[in-house]
Amino acid sequence: MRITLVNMPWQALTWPSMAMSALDTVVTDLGHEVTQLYENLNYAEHCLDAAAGLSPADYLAISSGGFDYGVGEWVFTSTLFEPGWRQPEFTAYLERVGYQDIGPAIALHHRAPEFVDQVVERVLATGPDLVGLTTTFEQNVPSLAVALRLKQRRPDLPIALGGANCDGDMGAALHRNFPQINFVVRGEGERPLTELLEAMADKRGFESVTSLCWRDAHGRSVENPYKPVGTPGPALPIATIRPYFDHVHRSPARPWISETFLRLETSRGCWWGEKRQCTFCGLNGGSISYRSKPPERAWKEISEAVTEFGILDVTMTDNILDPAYLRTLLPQLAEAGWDLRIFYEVKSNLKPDELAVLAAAGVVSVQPGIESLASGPLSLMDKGTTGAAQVRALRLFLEHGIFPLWNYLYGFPGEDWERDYAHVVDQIPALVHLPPPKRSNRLSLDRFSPLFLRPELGIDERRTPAEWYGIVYPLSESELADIAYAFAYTPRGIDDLTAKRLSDVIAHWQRAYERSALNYRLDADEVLIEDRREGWPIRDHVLRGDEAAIYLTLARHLALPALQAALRAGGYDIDSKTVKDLLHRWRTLGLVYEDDGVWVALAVPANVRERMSWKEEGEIVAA
Amino acid sequence: MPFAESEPVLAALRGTGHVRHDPAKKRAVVRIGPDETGHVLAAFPASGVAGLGVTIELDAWPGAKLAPRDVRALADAGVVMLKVDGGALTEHALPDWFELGKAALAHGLPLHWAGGVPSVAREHARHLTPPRDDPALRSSWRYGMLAWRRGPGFALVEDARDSANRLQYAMDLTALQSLFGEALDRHIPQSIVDPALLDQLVDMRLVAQLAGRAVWLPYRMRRWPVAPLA
Repeated sequence: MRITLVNMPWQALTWPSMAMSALDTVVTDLGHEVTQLYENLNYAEHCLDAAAGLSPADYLAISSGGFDYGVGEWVFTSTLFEPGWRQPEFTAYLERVGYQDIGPAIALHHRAPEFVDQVVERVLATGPDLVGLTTTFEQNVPSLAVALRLKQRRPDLPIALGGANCDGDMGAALHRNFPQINFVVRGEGERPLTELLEAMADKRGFESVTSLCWRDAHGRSVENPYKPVGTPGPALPIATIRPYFDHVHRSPARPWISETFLRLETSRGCWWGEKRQCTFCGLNGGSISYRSKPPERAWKEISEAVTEFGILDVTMTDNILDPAYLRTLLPQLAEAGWDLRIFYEVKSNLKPDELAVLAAAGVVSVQPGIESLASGPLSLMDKGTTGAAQVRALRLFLEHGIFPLWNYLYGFPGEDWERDYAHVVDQIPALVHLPPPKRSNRLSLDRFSPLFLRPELGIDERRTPAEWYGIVYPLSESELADIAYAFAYTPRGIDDLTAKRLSDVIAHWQRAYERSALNYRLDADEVLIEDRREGWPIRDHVLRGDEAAIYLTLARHLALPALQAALRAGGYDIDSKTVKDLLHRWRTLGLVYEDDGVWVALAVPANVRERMSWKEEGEIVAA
Repeated sequence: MPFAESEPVLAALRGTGHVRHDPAKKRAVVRIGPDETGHVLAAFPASGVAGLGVTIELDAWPGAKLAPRDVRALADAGVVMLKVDGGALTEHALPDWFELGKAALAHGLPLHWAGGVPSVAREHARHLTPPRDDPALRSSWRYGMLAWRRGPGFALVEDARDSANRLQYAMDLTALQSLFGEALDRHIPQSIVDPALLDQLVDMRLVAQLAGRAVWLPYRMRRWPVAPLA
């Protein structure tokens, strides 16, 4: 059977589609012939029209910033429905929410039908027996539009839709409402797609295909029971990524694509979420159980991809690093001696020796789920950590040359400004030498997250899709509620005006970071702390004896009793009033961070920080 | 407590040359002359610089010389800065100077230097740490302008000297190592390089011909001071 997989806009242009890459391997191994079409790249090329004032930069703007407002979905309504579809209503909505690039979105909307016709030609040219469209984030309407035009040209051509947007109720609703789709594959695709191909070959009935939505002889939508089956770790496919690189390297849009990355996966699910799922997180859909590839298999896949494509930048799709890899895969990568740059999502409570393993392997960038620096909101989100521990994590990442990517989340039901934010905002000026958050965000209410599934966590109103769904889709409220991933709700926790105080101080943090250092040196029995943070007087602090011992003990985050116990264990018997007074003085000087009675030291070893302190413009920061 | 005693390090350094010690700042500046590099390196115990912020000052180039492996040893010991108060570089000294500049960037040892880059070498030196007193070179310098990264069997060369036209090449690492050494940090007589290959590398602006030597220009890049993959 010839199977053509299609990746429509608005996926990032910098890496392969994990969905197509994984399923290509599975289906090819079954003996079928697979073609991958990177129509997202083709669309970026389609945007190369200087006369119309467009360029691939307009693609990138929507791809990176349009999802929150459904911009990419609306662009393709010109094909799925009609040109100008609810244009006044949608542009008024974009103006209201402050979206910047309305003009290019309208221009692309009116050019979409021409592009979709081209996609149809390319798909049909592959002579497919089955077309598979993959949809995540803003790929629904583009995929449905292509399916519609394909059906108009080839009514007999079977079309399947799959991907994260099809998980659970969402896939069933898409199938019910869009008859151009024959099949919706729900959950991880390896097993249902394999079974679907067997059914198409009359080896089984469609009703037996796991979680499938299909059509009966009258074209009616039939929904098999949704039973998400996670592909076991050893069976996770080795990604077939060559089609992406073959395309991108010859693409006229290449100059707009600054870098290309190997996009690989070594695990699925979340081992933390299996125990205590973060309340805002809906990323794992119906398959949160954690599975990882055997380390030798992961090594083989990474090393072969690096060798084959001559690319040393690797971003992992994993939702969380397998801790076992700290003893297996990562040392093996370090041993290879290659100058890799690897991105992984990790848990923030990594120990210093574990961070050293990551750094040696070439992990230079992580998403550690910092989210907040106060224990109250961290507890509300079931993060399993504390504010001081998160600050310590930022310090340790800096010490090991690993950059943490993180956002400051707010808006959790039950949070309180005075208890959960005021002391953080007060202390952020002391943190400006540590890696700042990228932004602060009110939490998004996403399907599959505990906050969505469990009204008792505090968001208990009727589930209403985000506003743009109702403009993009001409569907009833209940159908929209089944299709949507992101939902509107009455904001909880701190209000927007108060949240601005947080975002303002974070903006200062971002500006000050590259110009700030808080370094310490140890010598004899002294700790010399050199304060060169923006916003603080240039000064050196010398700590001796007991003071030095206390400060160094606070390399770990400790409450007062634990701190005193640790000091006693080290031979220092210091009365609690002295310790307390000292901690409060240090807090005033910005040398420690305190949250919920837990304290942690902020200074980093001097030589590490000094030698990492080039600024891009070539100035070397003198400490 | 993880304190390190700096007094033995200081004592050893004092034996190698002139040391200025600021005990309040826990900093020491060690000025070394020709052929003293080995002594300085030997002065560092396994703990490196202990609690000191050590700056190494070289006598005017090309007096004291540091091989790339010496630069690495200083960086590994925790030295925070290398200072060179050089005069104008002679053409003869340029190949060694290029390797020093490459090594300082490769191993993360900040280099402060004053001096002039001869006109014959300016275009080739744009990616190396510029002298303090050359505003033209300083204004255009960016970390990572011309670097290579080691991959399995290939060197990934990233050339961002022209920011509007960033180039990337995956090159045969074994072939390059056979010429420029394991770490591509060794200049060689240009006469021993296959002329066609030399022409090609020179055309790509990856090799400079200086004082009869072929100098591989990219430095190895393993440090990412700004957020990578963000």
